[in-house]
Amino acid sequence: MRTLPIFDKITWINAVAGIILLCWQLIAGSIPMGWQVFYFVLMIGSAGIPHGALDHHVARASAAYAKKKFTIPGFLLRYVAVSFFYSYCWIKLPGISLIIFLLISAWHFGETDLHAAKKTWLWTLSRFLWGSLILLILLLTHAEETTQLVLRITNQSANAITILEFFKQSGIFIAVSILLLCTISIMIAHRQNHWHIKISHIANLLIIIILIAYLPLLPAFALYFGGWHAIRSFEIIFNFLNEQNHEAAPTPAAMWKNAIPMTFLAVVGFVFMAFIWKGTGLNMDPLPFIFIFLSVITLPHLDVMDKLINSKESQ
Amino acid sequence: MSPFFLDAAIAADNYVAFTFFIGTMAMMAASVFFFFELNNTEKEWRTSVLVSGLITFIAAVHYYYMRGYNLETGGDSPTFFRYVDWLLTVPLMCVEFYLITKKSGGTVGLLWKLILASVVMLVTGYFGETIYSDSSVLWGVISGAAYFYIVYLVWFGEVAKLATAASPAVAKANKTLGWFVLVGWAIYPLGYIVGTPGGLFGMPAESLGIGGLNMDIIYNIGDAVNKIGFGLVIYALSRSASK
Repeated sequence: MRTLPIFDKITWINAVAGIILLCWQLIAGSIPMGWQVFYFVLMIGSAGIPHGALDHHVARASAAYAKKKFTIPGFLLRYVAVSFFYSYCWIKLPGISLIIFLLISAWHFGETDLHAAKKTWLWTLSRFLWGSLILLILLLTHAEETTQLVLRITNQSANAITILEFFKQSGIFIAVSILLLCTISIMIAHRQNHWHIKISHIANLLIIIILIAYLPLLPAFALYFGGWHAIRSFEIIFNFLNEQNHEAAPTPAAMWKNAIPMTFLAVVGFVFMAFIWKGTGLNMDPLPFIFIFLSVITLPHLDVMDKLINSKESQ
Repeated sequence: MSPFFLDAAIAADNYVAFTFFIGTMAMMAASVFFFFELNNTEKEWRTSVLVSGLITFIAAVHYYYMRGYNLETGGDSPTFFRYVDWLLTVPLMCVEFYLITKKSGGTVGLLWKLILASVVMLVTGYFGETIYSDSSVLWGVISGAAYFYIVYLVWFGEVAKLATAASPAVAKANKTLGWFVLVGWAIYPLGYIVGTPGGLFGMPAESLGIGGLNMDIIYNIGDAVNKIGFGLVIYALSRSASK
């Protein structure tokens, strides 16, 4: 597969930015909250949301590749319906919705990082374990902040408190177990079906993982999600659309530009969703709501990316 | 002295009245420009340029009254006049989409879809903002749905398809107009949300520095950019398509 250096450059620049943030924290004692929010908004706004803003192009190209019917109204309706349904679940069943969010995030992160591997059950397991490991690192290294955030997200749901207690007591054990399982799973899967990956990618990702463990939750999440995951997703999307000669991706810059309208619409949708949320009588501050919004748009996005990666695997 | 006359005094720090005044003059100047340019416009584009002139002219008249209302009431927001202005000008902007795509098959059905959506967007917005403010979320949802429907039609739906089929110049103009609808028009639902008490995560709009008075300034600048800009895109299209 053709790998464009531009995506690698961006993820390395993001790693350097993360190092600068860490140095700032070490020298000044902490990164001011204003700057944390600025970095978070910058990364989510410039990469996090835009990487999903091409979903309609990706879905159309995937459908064409699989010789299936595709219509924009049908796609948008399904996308919005899934988002609305999941929003409803967040209102009615916050604890269960949180578990779903963690599971889909784990799968999605793992699937993107190990997308080049073959579609075997061992690689499927490896993907899920790898994504879970990333998520656990993010959550366990920010246990206090995560606890506060989760309680705010779920409105002190009893289920969420049980989950948090469980992770507090056995989080390290689970993380080590998953690390071991993941390593074994990847090794066996790799022996059976060789996996091509650049050493520089592994080095880049390791640096980012180390950084997210030491940075505060907000920039840590932004660094992994916007600075790594979104850029790698952009690379996968670009390669796929380019192979299909899709007009949305003549160059990486043009592809990013093509993501701007839907990104803007997502931001308007975010404010709109917050407004509807108010109508439910639930009181919620912006930060937890941002995470809920991200989860709500991640669910249909996951389906789109899943189809893309599966269609590539079948090549 | 009646503030409905142009010689009514505007305090140096009254930025709201100042933007109403600037808005009036800008809309009026744009109208004169569009009307005078009609004679230099190819026949097939004259209606489009005429409609552009009508949009800015209607807005100029409303802005003149809104400026007076604002001064006479000591700074009240002229919500009623604003909605009347939008109710006349926004459907006309939708007419522009029909006019530019007519050659490639734009139907009267499409015209009515756009007009209906814009009327629903505005009337329900007015209900939510003024008459039934207790159920502003419900009216806001209906109004927002109509806005998203117009965005859909222009960016992905019939309008986009017809514009692409018409010519590269029309496709390019439609894309620019699409940006006006997506970004320019977004300030209205966002303004509605911010203006609804507790609409933005329960935070008072004043705490964000975007209270009632400032919203008037945002609307005034937004209106001028949207209406004059919209007309200029149509004007530019009439020139490039005639070459």
